[in-house]
Amino acid sequence: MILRFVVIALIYLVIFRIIKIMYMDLKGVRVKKLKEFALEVKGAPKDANLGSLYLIHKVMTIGRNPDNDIVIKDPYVSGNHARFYVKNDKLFVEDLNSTNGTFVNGKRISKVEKLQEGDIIEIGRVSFKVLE
Amino acid sequence: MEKLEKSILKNIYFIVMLLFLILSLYRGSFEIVPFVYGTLSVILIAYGYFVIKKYYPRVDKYLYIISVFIVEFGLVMLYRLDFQRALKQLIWFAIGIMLFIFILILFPDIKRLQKYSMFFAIFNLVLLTMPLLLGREIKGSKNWIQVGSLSFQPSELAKIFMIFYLSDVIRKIKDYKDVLKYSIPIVLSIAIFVLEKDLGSALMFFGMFMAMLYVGTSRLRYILSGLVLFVLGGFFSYVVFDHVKRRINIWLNPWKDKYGAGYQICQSLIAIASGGLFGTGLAGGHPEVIPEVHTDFIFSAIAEEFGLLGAIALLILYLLLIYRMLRTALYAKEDYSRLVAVGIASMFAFQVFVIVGGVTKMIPLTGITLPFVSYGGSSMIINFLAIGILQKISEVGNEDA
Repeated sequence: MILRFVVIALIYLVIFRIIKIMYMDLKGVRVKKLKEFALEVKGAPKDANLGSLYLIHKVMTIGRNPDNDIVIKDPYVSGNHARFYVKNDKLFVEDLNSTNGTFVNGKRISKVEKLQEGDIIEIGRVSFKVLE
Repeated sequence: MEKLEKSILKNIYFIVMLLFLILSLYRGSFEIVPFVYGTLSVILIAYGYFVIKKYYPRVDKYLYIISVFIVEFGLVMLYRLDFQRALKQLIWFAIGIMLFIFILILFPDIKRLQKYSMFFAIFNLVLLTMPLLLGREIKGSKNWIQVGSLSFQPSELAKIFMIFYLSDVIRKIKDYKDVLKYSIPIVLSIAIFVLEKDLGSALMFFGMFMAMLYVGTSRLRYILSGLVLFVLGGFFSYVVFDHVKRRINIWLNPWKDKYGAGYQICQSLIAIASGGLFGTGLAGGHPEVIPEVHTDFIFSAIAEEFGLLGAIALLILYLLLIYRMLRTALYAKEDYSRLVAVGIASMFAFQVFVIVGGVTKMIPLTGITLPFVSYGGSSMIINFLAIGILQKISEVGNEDA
């Protein structure tokens, strides 16, 4: 039975390959990068920030209060208006019970909504476009 | 990275199919049943991997890949030993994978379980006392509950509950008084195990507790006093309990009574020895002469037919699995998840140590299952539950890696 040597050799081959990957992991090689999203400002009441980009890193909050990541000085925007976050390579937006609501492609969202590239988000009088 | 994963999985499929091909050819003519069986197990693995890759790209996939590889060792060996049991085991494997996926989807963030630690401790003790009241004795240990035709080993589930309980309380430990206060449930459960004649689980609980205590507090004093207590307790139970004394005497000299009490361990040693370096080849040996070969002694059967090299390969796989679990602990976000991961890793480590040490006569033999390999539904399901919880922790931990 030559096969028994083949089987053992193959098992060790698999073990060796697994160890190799784990070694790469220890050395800190990260082949797969986190997916990143950005928001482009499409419409603003004063044309001030038009076209500027905001990179979304893990979590980003938006609102009128100065402790938010993106601060919009606009009376139509609530203090803590909405939150963007990335989970499992997908971008989500969550409305934080804002007074005037968060709109995705013209529709007001109730709580959490998954976003895709090209979606238009309106917050107060400002609108954003999702870029990947 | 993903390509490498896929090619490793393909290698595993190839090995599995080759092993089942050997099984379908060894009687002289080609049989289709082992082939179908092997294909079904491969499809199960591929399905589980597909779901993880599609919906949870951030989790640690090697936990899954290594565990299913270990499961395949067990399936091949069980098929070769006993077809009926192998069929049931495949069903348990399928249920295990389903449960694993359900945990990924439905289980909340582990942190939320922190509040229920008292509940876990109480439920753990209830589970462990249940067999004393309504269980029945199977193979010398009274640790089974039987409902209809299904028998269930509550100590398997109790392990997980204990880990959740310990992960919460160990963070609160400040001095010796706290250690004593919080270890009451542990001491009680170890006492119950000794009464149920389930010494393997007692040893495992103790090992788990010590490992988690050391990781959580990093004080050597607690561990040393624990070891002193262990030695005292071990000596006490040797003197008082008959079954403990018998186990130790068998261990010290199994050959004295090789057709009676020492029969199991003698047959196991003969099987391991006859395997040699490369083994007798699959279906080439006679592991069926070992009693309980499909559960406690499956490692001896693997050592006989795959040889020393195959047995070491299996141990390396366990080592890699445990390394991967500890890595999850390192990357975890907060102490609670970290301790849960360490607890599960030490649970696997001690379980493998106790049973492999037992069948090779390094420590006294106590019947517990070899994780993922031994025949048994409750063990298989709990192991996949544990892997699922770790995946969940690794998902949160990897998020901003």
